[in-house]
Amino acid sequence: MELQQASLGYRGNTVLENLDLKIAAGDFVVIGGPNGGGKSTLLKTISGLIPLLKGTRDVGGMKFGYVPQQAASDVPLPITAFEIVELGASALLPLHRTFFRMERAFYLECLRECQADAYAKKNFGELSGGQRQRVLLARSLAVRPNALLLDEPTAGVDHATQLVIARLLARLNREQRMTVALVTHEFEPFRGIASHFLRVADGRAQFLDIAAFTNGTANTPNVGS
Amino acid sequence: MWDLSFLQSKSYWAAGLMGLICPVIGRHMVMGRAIMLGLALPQVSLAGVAFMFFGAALGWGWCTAFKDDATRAFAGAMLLTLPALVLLALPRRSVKLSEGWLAFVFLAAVSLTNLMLSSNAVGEVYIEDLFHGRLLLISDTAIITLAISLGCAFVFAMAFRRRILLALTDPDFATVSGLKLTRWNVILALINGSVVGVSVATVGPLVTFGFLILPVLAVATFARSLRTHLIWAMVFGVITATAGFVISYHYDLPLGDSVVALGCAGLAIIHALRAIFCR
Repeated sequence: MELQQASLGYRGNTVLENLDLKIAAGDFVVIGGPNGGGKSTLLKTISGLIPLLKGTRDVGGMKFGYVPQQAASDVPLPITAFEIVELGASALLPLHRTFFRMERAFYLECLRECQADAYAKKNFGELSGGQRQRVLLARSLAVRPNALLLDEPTAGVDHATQLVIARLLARLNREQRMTVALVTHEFEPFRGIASHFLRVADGRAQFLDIAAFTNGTANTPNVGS
Repeated sequence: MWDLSFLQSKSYWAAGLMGLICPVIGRHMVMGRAIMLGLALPQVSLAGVAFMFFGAALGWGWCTAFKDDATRAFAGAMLLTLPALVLLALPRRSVKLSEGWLAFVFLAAVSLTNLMLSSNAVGEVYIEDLFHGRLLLISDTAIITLAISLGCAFVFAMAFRRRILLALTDPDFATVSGLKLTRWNVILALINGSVVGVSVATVGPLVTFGFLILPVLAVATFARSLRTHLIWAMVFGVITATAGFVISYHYDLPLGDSVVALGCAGLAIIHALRAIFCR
């Protein structure tokens, strides 16, 4: 996935300018930085949710699975964890295949992969933050992606659950060569897992090592891959 | 008390059909956090009906061309409902904007309806009948039109339910996954619009809004999944229609008001029972 000479933002309000960014297949990129620095804008631009103000975006054959912030996934009616995955997966499925039992088996497999099959029949609204996050991750896997984009997957969950989510993503990255890019404020769970740390602040994006990343000091020049 | 002759009444079947199918459409509105849409849209349809009577009173050819009041009402309801829904579907990603627009649309529709009827006795009587949901004089044409439009909407809404619900509940995920959001919003608008337009022209805005929203909210308190929620909402709708019809029949009360009051009572009782037993 590549952004070239890209300007990112909303309706003429530029957040990041002249950005060159390349994420290769199999990378594990953690995106951090202060609030309002443009982390989520960058993730949403990569995913195609926000159009570029300037420059080019090449997804290079990547098919994205997206995990939005938990707050965006509240559903006002009763819905089970399994149905959350089922709804998500049906987005691109031909209509006749949505009735197939084997698809249902695949959705259960996605939940199992994320250690969420135990509460497949439970009401999504009654699950804890960590459980919900695993269900949303299972949903993103159900669209059969080769890259995962996650917007603050560890927000609002305890440290132990953050570690579980980090290990889960590490396993997907290692075993399935799944590309992962995520926005977070909690970096420690990803120490030793992420291949790149990208700090987004003051209109710039820089790849840093973990030490510089956590204290916010740049030690490498502007972005590359 | 157990006189079942009401089953032969066309108006009962119209109310039963509404009770069965409107919850399928109503959950789109609740899932999309657009209950205001369920409130505003029937009013827009009613403004369309009023507009046709207004035009007919002024002798406009295309308003007088319809041979009876029922057909004129259908045409008027569809005239405003579908374009309004398609327009409202487009800025859906901004919830605040949508709610603001819905409030504007509701107020504009109510005031224009009243203004257009202020010097139109025929239209005023017809609209008042619709408003109270007086179904007893429903024509064969009206019930056939209602059955066809609700039936088509039901088939589409069920066949594409997963895509529609995904677009409503998580538009960002849907977009990244490849769902054409604008296309599905327009399809949703057409399904909702045809149901609301035809229903308002047949049974009025009160019954339409009641059947769209009350069953969906009532059973949400105890259903555990989308599937069971839909089944129970449809059962609630049919039971409400039947019980409301029986009460209306025996006590000579307006049908629409009886059905909606009973639906409200059902919702309140279910919430009270849940509060007592699920503490």
